[in-house]
Amino acid sequence: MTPDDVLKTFITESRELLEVMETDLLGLERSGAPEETLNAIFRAAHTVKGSAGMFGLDHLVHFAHAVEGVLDAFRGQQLAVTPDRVSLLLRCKDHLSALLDEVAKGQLVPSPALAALTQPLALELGAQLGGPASLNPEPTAAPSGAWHVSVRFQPGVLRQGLDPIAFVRHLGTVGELLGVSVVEGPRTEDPTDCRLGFELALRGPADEAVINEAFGLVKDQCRLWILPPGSPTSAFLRMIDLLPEGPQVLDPLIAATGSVELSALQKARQASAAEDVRTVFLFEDLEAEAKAATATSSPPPQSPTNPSATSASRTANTTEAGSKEGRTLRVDADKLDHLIDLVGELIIAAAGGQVMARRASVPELEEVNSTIAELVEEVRDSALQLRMIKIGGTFARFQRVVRDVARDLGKDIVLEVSGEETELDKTVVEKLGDPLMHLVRNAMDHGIESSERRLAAGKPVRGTVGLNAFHESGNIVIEVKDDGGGLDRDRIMKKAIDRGLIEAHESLSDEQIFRLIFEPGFSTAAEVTNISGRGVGMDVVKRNVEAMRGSVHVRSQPGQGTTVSVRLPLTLAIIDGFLVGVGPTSYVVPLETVEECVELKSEGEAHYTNLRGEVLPFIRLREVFGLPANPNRRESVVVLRHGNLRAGLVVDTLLGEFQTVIKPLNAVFNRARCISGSTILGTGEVGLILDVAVLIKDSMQRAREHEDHPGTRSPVAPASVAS
Amino acid sequence: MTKIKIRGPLSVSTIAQHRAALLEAGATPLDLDLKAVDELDTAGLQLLLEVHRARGLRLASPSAAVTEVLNLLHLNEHFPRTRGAKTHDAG
Repeated sequence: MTPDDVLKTFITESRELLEVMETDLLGLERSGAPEETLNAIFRAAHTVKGSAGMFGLDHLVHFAHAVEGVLDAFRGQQLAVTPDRVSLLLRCKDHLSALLDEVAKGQLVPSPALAALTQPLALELGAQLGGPASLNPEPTAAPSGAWHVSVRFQPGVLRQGLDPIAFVRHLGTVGELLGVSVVEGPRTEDPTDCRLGFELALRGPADEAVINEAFGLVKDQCRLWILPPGSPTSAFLRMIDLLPEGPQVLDPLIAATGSVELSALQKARQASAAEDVRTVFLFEDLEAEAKAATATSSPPPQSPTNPSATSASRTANTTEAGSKEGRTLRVDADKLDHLIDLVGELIIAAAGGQVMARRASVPELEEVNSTIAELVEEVRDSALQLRMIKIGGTFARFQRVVRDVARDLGKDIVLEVSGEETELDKTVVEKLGDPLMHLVRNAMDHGIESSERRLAAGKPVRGTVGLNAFHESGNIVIEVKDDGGGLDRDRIMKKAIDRGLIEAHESLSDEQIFRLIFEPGFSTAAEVTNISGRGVGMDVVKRNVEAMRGSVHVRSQPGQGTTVSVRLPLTLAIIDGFLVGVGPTSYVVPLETVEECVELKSEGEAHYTNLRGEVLPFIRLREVFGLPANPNRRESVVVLRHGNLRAGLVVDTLLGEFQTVIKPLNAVFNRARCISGSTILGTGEVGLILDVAVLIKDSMQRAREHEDHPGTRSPVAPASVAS
Repeated sequence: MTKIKIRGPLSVSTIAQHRAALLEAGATPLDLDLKAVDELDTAGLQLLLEVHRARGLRLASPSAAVTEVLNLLHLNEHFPRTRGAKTHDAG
């Protein structure tokens, strides 16, 4: 680990802690204020503060300290948990996140803009506590005795940018350092080896977790002993036995901290009647030693609460937690992406091998190749599985959104979440945030009625917005549901007619009408609010989802509510394609857009054909890509459906289904319309993946431009007309 | 008594360049001017302790950064102080 890595770890972990803090703060409002939740929130703020201290991020430390003050008052019940206070703390959490974001960008001192925000928030926090705000941490002195902390570091810590002194410095902020002894280890070859350890007497912190956390960043590179206040002398003896320096060196140094008297230590050692070890072993590498220690110490004869049992169970607990932790690995997302890229290459290479084997027609070779292909497929699935994450994290973010937006709107709305365990590709999750955000805001703003109207309709005043996720045939479906007034069919009709989207006399099904809300520039809200009327319409949601090869559906029941379902592929890395050929080039059409394939029976330049008695407009791929005509060939039509539009695609050859890895196009091809990506075929040739949505839209555009010319028909017709 | 002055950080990144001068400039006790030291980390402190053990060390006008560490670790008494007059500049 380089210093940069350590900072990155700090930022990642702090972000996670702040997420936890937010979730728990929101939980406070719903579930009262259970003690463990308050403790968890406090712990989160405290750990962020502690770790920030390691990096000398004083502005973060001081602000987190102010936040901690209020949280501590919650814990101590000096302050009641009120919605306003929770709001304040949520804003503080946001501020902490913003400060962290700056640190992540390498800005170790806050920007003036953010720094200006710190003071007012701190003042508000201070006001809660009924005193002038203090941005300076003050030791929380407790009258009870001192803890004894003994710490030794691994030689490499200095080279990793960790400074043991900084941890001691931080301990000085969580309590009062009554005594400090520096323990020097033996000289080594490398002067940058860390040879110093510390014996510390610390007064103040309420529990050992606070001390543990102070060493959180270096926890797997140090050995830490924590003796609670009032520990028996025997505990010190046991600890000294386990430390490398031995009693000769350590006795006076530990005595110098004031934790225990030298004469007491020596007397106790002579008596050597081992009573009890209350040493807490924190790190797994000590586990074996710990067991040995417990085993050699004879059980206390008359102690009522059997302290050695306590010590053993503590050790067991930490071991269990440790091994559980060991089962999860934090992996750099880039590395994972690289792995998946490589697997993509592997699939292509294996497909090439299979083609070659078939050509060589050596049965053994074919057999080997098909085994390889099977394995490669499994490897691909497992690799993709690695990048799957649960959608719960994304959903959890919306608790905050719903709470804040409901307050802004003056509505009483709760968010109900289900299907949090549903997994999907990380890259999909990342792109899902914006569309979901818009759908949720929209449901709250336009979906849920005002309290008066809800009461008048005999519904509970509290509105509900639901987020649900589930898997369905290789796709993930995410539903955003509200129990509001439902979509107003007549108003949508009227508006669509006003906008010229439909003809006044057209008879459309409910679903077709509801689908109109996804048309560009369509908004049924009588007034534009700042919640969802930000110029980002539902059309953008639809576009974003379709860009991920997904689709949006809406169901609505008057008076009962509206459900918008977003259907997405589980991964963006692989596509089930249908391979077609035009001239020497191969193209891939996403399989889900393909309805059927028929032979082209039309003549001349007409742009439509007869499909079982119905008019099917079509697009000639040759024309789209400006390829020379090839009159001698028989042509086929692939019937494509996109949304409610249906069109034929005229191609030379049909090559069949083909699962393939998508390679994004280089930025140079950004302006190449109609193509969404590329892939390498088994033969080593490049196949272009067609963007069906754009293909159809462009053709409509062209048709409109030619509307003046008689005899030219729109190449695309609404499916309702065609089917 | 040898006199040396150190400037800038006395830390893991710089101890290599100071180490030889501090440990091998003669076996006599050393007057060390730390007025211009703006950072002292564990590696630096470790070196000071080593030098002190090897030949005896007196600190001349330690800077705030140095004093902070010495105070924190209750090491103020450990190193004797000197009112250093003129010091030899070692970088």
